[in-house]
Amino acid sequence: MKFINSIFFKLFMTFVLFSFIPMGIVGWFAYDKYSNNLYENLQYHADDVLEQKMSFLSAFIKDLERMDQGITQSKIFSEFLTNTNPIDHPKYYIELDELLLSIQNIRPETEGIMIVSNNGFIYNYGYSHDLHFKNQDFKNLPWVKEIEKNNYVTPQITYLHDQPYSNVDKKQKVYSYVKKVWDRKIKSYGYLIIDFKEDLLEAILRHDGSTSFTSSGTFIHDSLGFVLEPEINLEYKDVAASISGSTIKSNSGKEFIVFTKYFPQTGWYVSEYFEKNAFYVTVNEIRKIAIIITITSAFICLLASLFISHRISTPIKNLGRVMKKVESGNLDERFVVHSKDEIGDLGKGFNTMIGELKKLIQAVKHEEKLKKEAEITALQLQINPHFIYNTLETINSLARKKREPEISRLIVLLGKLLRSSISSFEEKIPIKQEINYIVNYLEIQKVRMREPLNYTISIDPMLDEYLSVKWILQPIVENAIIHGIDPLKSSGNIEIIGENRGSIIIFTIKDNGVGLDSLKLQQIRHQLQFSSKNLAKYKNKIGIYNVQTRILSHYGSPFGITIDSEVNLGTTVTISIPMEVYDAQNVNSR
Amino acid sequence: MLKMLIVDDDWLISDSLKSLDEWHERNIDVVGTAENGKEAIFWMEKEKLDIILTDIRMPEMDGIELTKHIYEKESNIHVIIMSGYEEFSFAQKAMKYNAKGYILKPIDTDELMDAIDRIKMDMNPTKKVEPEPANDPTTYHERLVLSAQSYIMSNLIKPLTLKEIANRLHLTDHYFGQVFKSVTGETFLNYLTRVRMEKACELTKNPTLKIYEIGTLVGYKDPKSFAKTFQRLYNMTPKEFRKQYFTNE
Repeated sequence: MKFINSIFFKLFMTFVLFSFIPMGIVGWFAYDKYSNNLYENLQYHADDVLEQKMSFLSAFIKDLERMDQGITQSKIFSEFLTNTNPIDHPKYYIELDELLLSIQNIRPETEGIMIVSNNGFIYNYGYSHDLHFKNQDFKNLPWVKEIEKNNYVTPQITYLHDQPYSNVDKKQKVYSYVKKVWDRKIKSYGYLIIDFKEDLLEAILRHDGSTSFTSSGTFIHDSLGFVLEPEINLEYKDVAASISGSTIKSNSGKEFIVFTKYFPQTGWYVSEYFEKNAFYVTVNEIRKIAIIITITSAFICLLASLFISHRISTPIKNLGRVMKKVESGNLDERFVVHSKDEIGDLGKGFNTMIGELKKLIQAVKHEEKLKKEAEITALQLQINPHFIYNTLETINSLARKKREPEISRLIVLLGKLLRSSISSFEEKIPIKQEINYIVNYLEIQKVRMREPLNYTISIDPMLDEYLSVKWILQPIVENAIIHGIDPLKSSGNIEIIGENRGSIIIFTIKDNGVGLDSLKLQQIRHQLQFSSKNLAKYKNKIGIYNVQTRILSHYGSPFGITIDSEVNLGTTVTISIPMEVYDAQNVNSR
Repeated sequence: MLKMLIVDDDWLISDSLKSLDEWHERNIDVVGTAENGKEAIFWMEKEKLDIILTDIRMPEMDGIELTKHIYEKESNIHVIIMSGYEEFSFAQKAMKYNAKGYILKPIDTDELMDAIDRIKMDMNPTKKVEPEPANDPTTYHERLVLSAQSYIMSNLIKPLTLKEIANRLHLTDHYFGQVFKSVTGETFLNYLTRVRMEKACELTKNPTLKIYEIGTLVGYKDPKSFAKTFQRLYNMTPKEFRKQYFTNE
């Protein structure tokens, strides 16, 4: 048998399917749900953070605007712008210093403030001014040009640039709040520049504690490039192309989820990023746990299904093995039953069946043996009879010579009896032959008996050719003589009648012997009914019980022997058999 | 009178059957007994038989062959077969060769007589028309000699004596010797020797037999004595006789 066809495999596959699939589906759903949930949480969180940062940024911008207004709406500032006389310039310088001292207090973190007038004067606050840096130089600064281009969109915040106008630290990178400003009469104009350092923006946006995510941060970009560079290595073009909530890969290969919000006051995009791996750590953990649980339970299911299918299939396999052995002829093999389930029942049934089979085979064997013995006996008789007949004839010759016709007659009768008893091996013979046999037997008995023996035989001639199990009359007649007439010590009569009633043939054998007392009669009747087979088989009783057994085994239970008797009056035995016509085929087959 | 021959290789059976009183009652003359078919044919040549009662299993020629011979050559003889065998094939052959009865051994005399009576009934009409021939071909003495000759014929291999044969015929040896001499004109011993030697001559013509074997077959255990007797009768040894026979051929 192929393994794939075995019960074990089928059961095993069923168990595996029923354990693996639901486990897998549950695991996958849990993971999916959880990770979605987590992502949504992250989105909310990112929104919050961004909103907060925007408000910080907005507040900062507002502060700058307040500073701007504080300066530009003062009278001194307007005069400074309109002033064309270099001699007056220092006077305004001092006055502006006073003003800005208070103004700068709004945002002390600012680096410095510079006012460039159209008339060629530059005022600065917070850092020393490089006197070589003239009005013209200012106009040539690239970010100033940029602002000039977008003339109407002021104020603006520049990208990060150095300070060539500073006397102290020209390389200091700063952002600048730049506004084109006019005097009160709107005759002259100038630029107000408030510088603030990168740190300031970072301090506003990147203060710790606002996020529980370790690998996160903030950066800003606008349509030209990064305003506040991200701390991670991101390409600007990736960032510009992405939408809020998408995943961007850094140059170092890490993936980040980036949420972005537009800040309209400055045209900035403020972004909050989270490292994907760090964010998904818990999700991955859950996934790991789900997988471990699935695999573990699958493994347990596997073991369980192995065990259960083994438990189920092993007894079946054993039964199969026992059956194979029985098939090959070993009928002593038994299936050892442990279980009380259907397989146990099956095994018990099988054992019973084999037991019956064995009994049957033994019975058949026994029958064969008996048959063979009978055949051997018959063969022996067949080898010898010619010698027997010749010897009988020799005795017959002597009797003839000595003029002893009685001896001769007896020998002839004996010869005939012998002939009929061994001539036929059929189990059934015509009734005519049965009658001839009984006549020969009675004739011999007649000579043998001390007291005269009379007999009458009246058989309906139409019965002659019907079949009967052979030699059913002789044992009855023998019983009648030995048990009935012999003890009588006077002349005996035997009457044999054969007639048919419907489809049944009835033989009646009557004697005038001593009869049977009722106790004995009861006993014989009982034995005839219940134990004739055993008596015939084991006690070697070839009389009435043997006849009964043979009739029953050939014709079945309604037929057989009944016996009736009265003390000192005699015994009547009745034998009933079915009317059976001679049928050559039937006889041959027996 | 009907003449009957009983053929059985068991002499006790044939002799006891011959002695039955019933034959006389039925006007049947049992002319003798034979041991096999050949002897029966010998008798048939000497006597005009009506009935032959024969066994089946016999040496030389069995009952079936005899019945066949009679059926073909002497169909006026009625055959009754008696046998220990009940086999269908025998009965069938017996029927085929027109046997008139098949009696099983041990022989029930009543049955045998029934068969005889049936034959007599069959014969009677013709018998009555044809009157019995007045001259009885054989006398009692002649019949005794025939019986002896018949017996000798099938028992040449044995060392036969006058006494033995006389016993078989229920006679004294002296009386039997006289009867034999008066019927045949030669002494029993002469006759016996002559028959033996004639048989030997015949056997010599069979080249496969050795001379001493021939001697044994005709009742001489000593080959020298056989050769001497042979020479006395034919003036040559059996060997010379054989040589002469084959050169003449």
